[in-house]
Amino acid sequence: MAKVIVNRVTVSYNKGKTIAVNDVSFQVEDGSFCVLLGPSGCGKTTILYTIAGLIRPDQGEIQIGEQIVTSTQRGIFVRPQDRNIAMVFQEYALYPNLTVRDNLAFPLECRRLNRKEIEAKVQEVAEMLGIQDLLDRRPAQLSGGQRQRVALGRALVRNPSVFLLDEPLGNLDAQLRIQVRYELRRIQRQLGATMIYVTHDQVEAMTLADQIVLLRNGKVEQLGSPQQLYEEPRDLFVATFIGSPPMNLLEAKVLRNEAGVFFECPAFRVSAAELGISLDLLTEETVILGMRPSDLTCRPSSPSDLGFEAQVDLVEPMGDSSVVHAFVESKKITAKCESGPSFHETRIKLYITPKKIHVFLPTGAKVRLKAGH
Amino acid sequence: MKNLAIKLMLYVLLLVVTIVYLLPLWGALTTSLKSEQEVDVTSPLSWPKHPSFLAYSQALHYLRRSLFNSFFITLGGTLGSVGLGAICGYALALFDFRSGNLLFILLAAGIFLPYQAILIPLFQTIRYLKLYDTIVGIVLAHTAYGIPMCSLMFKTFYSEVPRVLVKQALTDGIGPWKFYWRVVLPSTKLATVTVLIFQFTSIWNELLFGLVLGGPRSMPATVALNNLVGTLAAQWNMQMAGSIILALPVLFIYVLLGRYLVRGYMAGAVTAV
Amino acid sequence: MLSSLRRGCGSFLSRHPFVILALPISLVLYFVYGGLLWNTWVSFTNWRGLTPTYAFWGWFNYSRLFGNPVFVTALKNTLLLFLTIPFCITLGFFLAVLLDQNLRGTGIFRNLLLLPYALSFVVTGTIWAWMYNPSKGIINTVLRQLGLSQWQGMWHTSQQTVMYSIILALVWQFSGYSALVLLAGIRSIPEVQIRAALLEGASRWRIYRRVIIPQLRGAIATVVVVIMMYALRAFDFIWVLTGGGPGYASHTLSIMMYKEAFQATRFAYAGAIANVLLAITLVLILPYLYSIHRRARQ
Repeated sequence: MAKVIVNRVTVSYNKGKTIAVNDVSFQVEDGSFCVLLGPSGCGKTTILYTIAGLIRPDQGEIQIGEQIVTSTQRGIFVRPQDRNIAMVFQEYALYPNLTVRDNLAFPLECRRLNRKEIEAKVQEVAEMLGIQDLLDRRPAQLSGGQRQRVALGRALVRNPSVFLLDEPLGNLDAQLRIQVRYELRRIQRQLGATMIYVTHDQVEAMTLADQIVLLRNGKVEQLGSPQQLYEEPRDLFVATFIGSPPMNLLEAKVLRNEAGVFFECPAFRVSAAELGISLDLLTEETVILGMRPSDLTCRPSSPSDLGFEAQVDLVEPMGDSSVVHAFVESKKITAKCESGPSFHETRIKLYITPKKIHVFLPTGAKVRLKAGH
Repeated sequence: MKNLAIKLMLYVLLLVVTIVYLLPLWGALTTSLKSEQEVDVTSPLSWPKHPSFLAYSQALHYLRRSLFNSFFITLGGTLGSVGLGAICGYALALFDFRSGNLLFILLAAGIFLPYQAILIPLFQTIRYLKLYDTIVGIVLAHTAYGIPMCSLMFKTFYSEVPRVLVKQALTDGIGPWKFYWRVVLPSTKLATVTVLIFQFTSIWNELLFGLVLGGPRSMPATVALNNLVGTLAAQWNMQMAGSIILALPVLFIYVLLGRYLVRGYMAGAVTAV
Repeated sequence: MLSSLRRGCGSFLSRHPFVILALPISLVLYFVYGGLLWNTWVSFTNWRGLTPTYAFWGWFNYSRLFGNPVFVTALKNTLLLFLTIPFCITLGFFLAVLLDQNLRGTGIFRNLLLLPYALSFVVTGTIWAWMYNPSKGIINTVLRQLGLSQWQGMWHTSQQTVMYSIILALVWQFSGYSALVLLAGIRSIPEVQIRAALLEGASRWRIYRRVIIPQLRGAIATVVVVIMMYALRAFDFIWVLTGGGPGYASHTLSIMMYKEAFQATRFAYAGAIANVLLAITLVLILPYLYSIHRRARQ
């Protein structure tokens, strides 16, 4: 297993007219699970292909382990077949005319292993994934989930330095997806493997990743653990992309008087001090307040909680919790509350701890908190 | 009811058209089975009173050597052009490399080459190589000039292999030719057969190279038949028999493997435009 | 060696996998493009006889060509052969429509009509020599039996009618192919369009005219290009049927070139003729090559 370093990589198409990846840098620790997350067209797949060596970047360096495999500056380029990586694609890409056994064995045939060793390895991986009964079938005879496992097995068989996965669960149905996700994580932990995983599904990213690289338009928006991205989003995009249901956003006017600085939004008025905001550089007239639906509670959890009333529009019971869609002066609010007390009332009171309110400038950037937060 | 009548009329029309269309072949067949005298006397459309294969054995006597030649020439030329064309088509279809476009255009232009424009250099080359009047010489010519068409036909067929499979093979550490041999070739058997049959019939039927590069020892059956016809003046039964003998392998292929030939013609059409 | 071929992994081939393309590419470069250049050079020399002399001779061969009445005839005939194209397309279209009517056994008829295209020109040339035989050939015989004796002709034995006889035979040979391509073109038109037109009450003929034919442009272009290429190269058939005669009446550029080179051994002169043929071909395919280039760029 090896670490991966991506250093200032830029990839463009059409002779520079379309920039797919713009000066992206990040590191992946040896043995960690890194997810490249972002909306379609953000460049995540391009970065993955660049790490694999399927694409040559215009600029930048890629290092796998101790070896620099791509460097535009030093004119280094190691071909994909020589990089000791294993890739899994969304379409599985199983060799259609080979049996499962041959599919698994094929990548090994180029190593210095004899028939016996190859057989043993194939058997070992097949058992790890539970596909040992399928070894003599052809891909056409397998279900989606089975094919997925064979694709994974083919990657595992080679003990590569890095695993690269391009939305491998995209073609599976919801339940299968959750199951394979769990197994994937388990195997990764078990083997201590370095995995780089591309997806547009933030739920997948949150559940799988040790580290998330969130991308938009070819640039890194934020790097960090899932917890970090969730609790401390760097800007509006990150805040609304991560988390389901997405964060509630309310515009608030900035009021300055002798008592201090206040933010006034349709739901309430709160002082900047309560939110723990450092005020020095705040010159704007409006800010955007962000509140996560799961931070909005139906009962105050502490005396300093802010409360406000909202008009209930729709309640979606989810079993263990309910998603409440409400309006505050025609602005939509979503809240996640425990099921229990009935919401047949048309008006409810919602509470939120001030510290959990995120403040953003109209440009989208996060307002810095006072030191200590 | 009216529909049925129209359908019937059209069917009859189609039948008549086809029969008229095939009259030349019918005439060849009947004539080949008649004796010389009968040919002189009877209508060419009539079936012989006493069909005999005499004309065939006579024609065969002249054509036997050349038929062997044709067989080996066609075999060699087909294998050569199809083999080399396949690897060109494969590289062009699934791999991007800098000179790919240039190669494609070179090959595409090569399809339209009028052979007269290279006939003299070809003749000279074969003579210098001491391959004049040999089977190898003609095979070489067919191989070289068959590559453009075969390459582009294979490019069309191989383009249907999913690109992601190629990427997978690369990242699995499997080189392009191992991938070709183990995965692409077995899953494109249809394409291979199509191009093989297309080339086989093209080369078997060909006259010009045989005429220019062949001699008394190595001439293909097309040249031999042409010579035969030239010297036979009025022995139409032998001429027709000879023609049918020459046409037999192609007819055989046409009846048994016709759909591949048709696929080849359609692919050739797509490639040409 | 064999075992390393089996592995095929650490061998030279795997480090430079596409080196093997050098073989076919060099064959094409030499035999096709090298040949073109060599032939052009030859056409500027004074080579006569079996031993080549490569002494430069300027444009003399070309200028002699244009004064040569045989050349003019050959050029005329080569261009005359293009007449096969409209006839093939028309007949092919007629056959394609007939085959499109979903009658029983259409596939068999289509295959029967395509059969001539699969045959060698030597075979068809010999057969048509018999067809055209003035006294015993099928054509004149049938005409007599139909009571149309005055329409009998000398066909390929007469200078006036030989080219048209050739054209007729070629149309016969190619129409099946033309029908095949056009039929495929017709069948590729989406059902919905035809059904929509039927719903709007259009008659079958209208549908053909308004909906189908305009969309056949691709198929028609294909047929035109393919037949055009054959017409330019057409040596085999004419050589077998008439050898270029009677006299010089059915000479084409390809026939003339062959005779000059391989019978009269006037190689340089023949080279010039070949180049004229090449020039005509270039003019005709250049627009098409350009469009491939544009397409390949994308």
